[in-house]
Amino acid sequence: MGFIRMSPGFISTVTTYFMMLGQSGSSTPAPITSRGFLVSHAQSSGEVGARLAIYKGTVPTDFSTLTSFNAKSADLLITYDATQYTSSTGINQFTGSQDNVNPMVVTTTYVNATATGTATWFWWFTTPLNGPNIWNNTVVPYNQIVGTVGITGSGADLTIPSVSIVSGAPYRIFNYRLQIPTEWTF
Amino acid sequence: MALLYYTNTKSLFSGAILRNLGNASTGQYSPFTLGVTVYSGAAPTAAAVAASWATYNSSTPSFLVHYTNMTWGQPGQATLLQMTGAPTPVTPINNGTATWAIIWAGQPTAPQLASSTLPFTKFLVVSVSDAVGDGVIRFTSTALTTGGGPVPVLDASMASFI
Repeated sequence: MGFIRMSPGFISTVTTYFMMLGQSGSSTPAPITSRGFLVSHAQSSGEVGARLAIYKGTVPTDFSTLTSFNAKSADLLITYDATQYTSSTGINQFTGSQDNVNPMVVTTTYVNATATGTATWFWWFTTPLNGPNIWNNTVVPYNQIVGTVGITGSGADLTIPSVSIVSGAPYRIFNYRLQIPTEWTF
Repeated sequence: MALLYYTNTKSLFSGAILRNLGNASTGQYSPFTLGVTVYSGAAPTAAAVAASWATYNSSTPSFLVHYTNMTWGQPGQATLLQMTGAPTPVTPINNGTATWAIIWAGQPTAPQLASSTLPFTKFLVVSVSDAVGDGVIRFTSTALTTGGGPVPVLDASMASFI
């Protein structure tokens, strides 16, 4: 089994900024697949958007059915997006998040739910944009994390006071913390 | 349940980790060159290496070979970080089966590698394998010998996750 283990010195001094936001400097641009993730937003035309969406229904146990950004749209309750196509267009609903710490901290603006239901899982992904707020629906999202949603104290990956989501009501994510693993196996 | 990470996402994280390692060493995100030390035996935790470097320095029999100037880069959108410039082949100083390696945030010198003081606090402990294995660092054969002449690195990549 392959593995990568980070040294304590590395963990303590290198921020997750680059992991999360991708290459934003002008001197050493990186290819798109390595760019922005999670709370990132696109830096220029043709790049990626990030979405953290909350769903009802059966929690996926793998990524086999998550083949495009709207693969589970029938169960979709709320979306938080970062879809800036250029510096002046698109939206960023992750305002207030911190992506230069580990664990990273995610805070969103209030967004109205688009459907009513019992929240059971979330899907966090990046996928290409075809323009400001225009998701590319023809490709598998580049990067994805799936976790459970439950009430506070439930032990779910993302906990909220109530999982009963009401269409039209405003919700936000506040201080959600994601610990970036320091060892990967494959 | 535990969070599910897509394979690309694992690669993104690990590739970014290495990229940060390169940046810590050279100030460049890509491409950059790093030193790599290859060992035999059971791979330790990174914390164990940091805590007891004297048992992993070049005087230990499990220290097989050290390479300088391994160049890492990202050639295109479909690939993640990989070795884009092979280091000069080096003759191992001990016999053994290569199983793990340290990718340093820099280029440790021979005196540094022989010292009891950890050369750099920033490094990765990674897997090593032959061409059919899933090592981050791979050789044509992991059987390294002192009498076999200089040994090249076959390839190295974070794309093993995909």
